[in-house]
Order: sequence, then structure tokens, then C-alpha cells
Amino acid sequence: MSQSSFDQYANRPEYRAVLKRLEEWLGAHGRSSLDPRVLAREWPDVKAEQLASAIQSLVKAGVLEQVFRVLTPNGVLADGEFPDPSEIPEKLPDRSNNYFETAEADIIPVFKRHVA
Amino acid sequence: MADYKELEDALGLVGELCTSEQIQSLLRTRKGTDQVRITAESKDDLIGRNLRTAIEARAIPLDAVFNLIREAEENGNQHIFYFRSRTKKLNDAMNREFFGQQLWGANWERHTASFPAIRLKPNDFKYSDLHRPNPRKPRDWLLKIYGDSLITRATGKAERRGDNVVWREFVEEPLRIVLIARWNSPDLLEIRVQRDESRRRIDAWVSQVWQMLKPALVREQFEEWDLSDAMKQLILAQEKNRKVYEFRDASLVDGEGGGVHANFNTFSDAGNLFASVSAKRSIQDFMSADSSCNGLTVTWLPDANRTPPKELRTILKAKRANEIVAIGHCTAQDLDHVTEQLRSIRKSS
Repeated sequence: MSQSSFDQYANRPEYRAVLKRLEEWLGAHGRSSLDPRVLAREWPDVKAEQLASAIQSLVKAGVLEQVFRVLTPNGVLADGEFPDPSEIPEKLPDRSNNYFETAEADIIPVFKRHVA
Repeated sequence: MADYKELEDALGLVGELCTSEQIQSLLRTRKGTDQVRITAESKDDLIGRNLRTAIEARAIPLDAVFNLIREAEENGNQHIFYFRSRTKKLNDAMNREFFGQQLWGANWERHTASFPAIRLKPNDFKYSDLHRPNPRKPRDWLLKIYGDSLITRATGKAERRGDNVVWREFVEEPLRIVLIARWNSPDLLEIRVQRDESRRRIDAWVSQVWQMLKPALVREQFEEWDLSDAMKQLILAQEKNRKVYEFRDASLVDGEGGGVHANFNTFSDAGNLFASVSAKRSIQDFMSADSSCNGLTVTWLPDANRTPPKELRTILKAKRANEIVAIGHCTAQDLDHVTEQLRSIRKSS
């Protein structure tokens, strides 16, 4: 297996393969947030706890940071990311620019590359 | 130019409207100069200490701070309504001097001498700036209007008081309003208003701009610049222009009399609809039949000159046929890039 620059964050050997895949995913989807639910669907062969632990090790190392996103009533991500759920406005525009109440909406944690 | 006494107001606006990166880029233009420090522990320090010190030491001119404010509040997070002039005579005559004279008479320069004015007039609208937004287009001008209003907003809190009685809480809040009319030569007038959750307010602000353009310009001199054909062409020619733009959302209406509405959205806010072969085929099938597109979110990609410098999203035909919504902050150059792309694709349709 080729060496991954994320290897250094593997606190257990079995995370190496997941970290390598995460690195490749981030390289290919540089502009997207990393949503663990989407990855879990795309990678059925990876155990959920391994994926969660690998992501957490990248957060601890300062490679990724957690932010919060809001789902529109249509079930897609609204524009805007928030460092804390308390900073989400009461209303946000959906993809057609119609405003919806965020109190009724699902809030999901996602991860993005940390920018210093 | 505004009086130096307005520095406090200007710094307050910089804090509200500008990002730390924008402020640091301004400071970087004078990097190495005495009294200019780029880094700060917080945005408050960056403005209250670094920027203030640089201005007081005259290392950064106050004009540059006003330009920073202009850039931040005039471009992006807006609805833009396009209108095309009905006559070539008006196009040929139009420039900043002509417009100024039509609006304020022969002494128009006396009116503009105090611009940019950054203070608001309580509960009213006032002219605050008239400038040339693009040095490469000398016939263009941008008129800015500031408004101040008190709005009533529901907080979402409700309290039951006795049987069958529920009290809902509303709060009154001041709202700072920025309205813009931008002449984009040779023939387009753009009316820009800030994004807001109330459509009623947006429509009222557009009417307010028309009201304040009188007597220089009246609505009857213009027609709506309908984006429908341009949107169809954008969809059909996407393959050829794949390095210029992508789509994130599309709202389509079947033209065969079935009244079928179809919405396509990528799950991610940064997704590309045409990355799905099925979505691409369906959307293009809709457009090749006699169907219409009632909303299209276009992601404009950076070109070789880094224009826009990062992806810029606009919703075309958000409500009206001549309306776009610019999502997020961008530069004047970015918005002009979008208008030029629409002009170009419209010509080819």
C-alpha cells in the first residue's frame, strides 16, 4: 500500500486504510463538506466506528474542523455553514430563494478542511 | 469626499461589512510602511488598532477605506433586476455626467461633492453615492441609495396566557438598506437590492429605486431583459462551456400541456447537476422540447484570469424573468463577468 500523508494521524494501524481514503476523497472533492452519512453510504465496506474515529483523529490533529449545516425542506443542504448551531439564523433561503424556518429544519454536523 | 469626522462611522461599517481577509489585503498594499501592521489577534483589533493606526498615520488614505465599503456593500448577496433601454438615443447619451445633470440639474456636482455619504437619514431614503464602478468602462455609473427603516419581526416565541389565549412575541429592529442603480453600458440598467426574507420588501425597494431615479430616468424608457432564452441556451450549450459554468439546481416546467413541474437539486451545495448523466439528459430533454426553465442556479467557474477568483453562484430567474440572485459576497468584476456571460449567451441564442 502506498504511503499516505494522513498516516501520521493513525493512532491505530487499522485506521490507515480509512485515512488514506479520506485523503483521496478530500483531494477529489476539495470544495465540498465531508458528510459522514454520505461517506458511510458510499463506503459500505468501512465500519461506522472506524470512519468516525478516523475523522475524529483528523479533527484532533487540526486537519478538519466541524461545522453545522441546515437541510432545506427539500432535503438538500442550504447555503451557509455555521461554527455553532446557536449561530444559525431563524430563517434561511432554500435553493429557490424561499425562506424557511430553521427551527423546523434538520441540522447536520459536517467537516471541512481547516483553514489557518 | 466625506469629512474625516466620519472615520468612526466608516470603521463601524468596515466591521459590519468586510471580512478580515479584505481588511488585511488593504493593509498589505502598504506592507513595510511605518505604522502598518497586518496581523491581529481579532477582527476588532484589526479594525480598531491596525486599520485606525494606518489611517491616522496617513499610510492608508480614507478613500481606500470608502472603496472597501463600496466593494463590500455594492456587490453580492443581492437581487439584480436587469432592464434594457428601449432607445439607442438614450444609450448614446448615457454617462455619469448626463445622468447627474438629469437628476440634479446643472449644479449636479454640488450634490455629489459630499459623496460618499455614509450616515443614514432616520426612517427615510437618501442618495449616498454616484461613482464609476469600472475604470475600464468609463460610460458606466453606479448610484447608491441608503435607507433606514424599522421592521417588526416575529421572534418565534409564544406564551400561553390562560385558556385559549396565546401571545406571540414580535420585536422592532432597525434595518439598514442599500439600494443601487447601475448603468452597465451600452444598454443595461441594473437595479440591485439586498437579499431579504420578505418579498414584499424587495418589491417595494425596487419601486423606491425607480422613484428616486425620476426625473432622470423613468420605467417606461426600459423593458425587462428576459433571461429565459439565455437560460435555455446555457443548458443546451453546457458541454461546450463546461469550463465556464455548471448547474446546481434547476426548476423546469413541461411545455406539452401536462403542467408537470420538475426540480433537480444536488444534495451538496457545491454539487454539479450534470455530473449525473441521467439528470443531464432529463434537463436537456426538457429544454429541447417546448418547455421552460423557472429557476437555474449557475455556478460560474474561475477562468484563466481568476475571474471570478472562486466559484460564484447565481440563481437566474429567481422570481421574475429579468431577476438574478447573487449568492454570497463577490466583487464588482465578478458580477460584471456574469452579466457579460449572459449578454454573450443571449446573443448566440
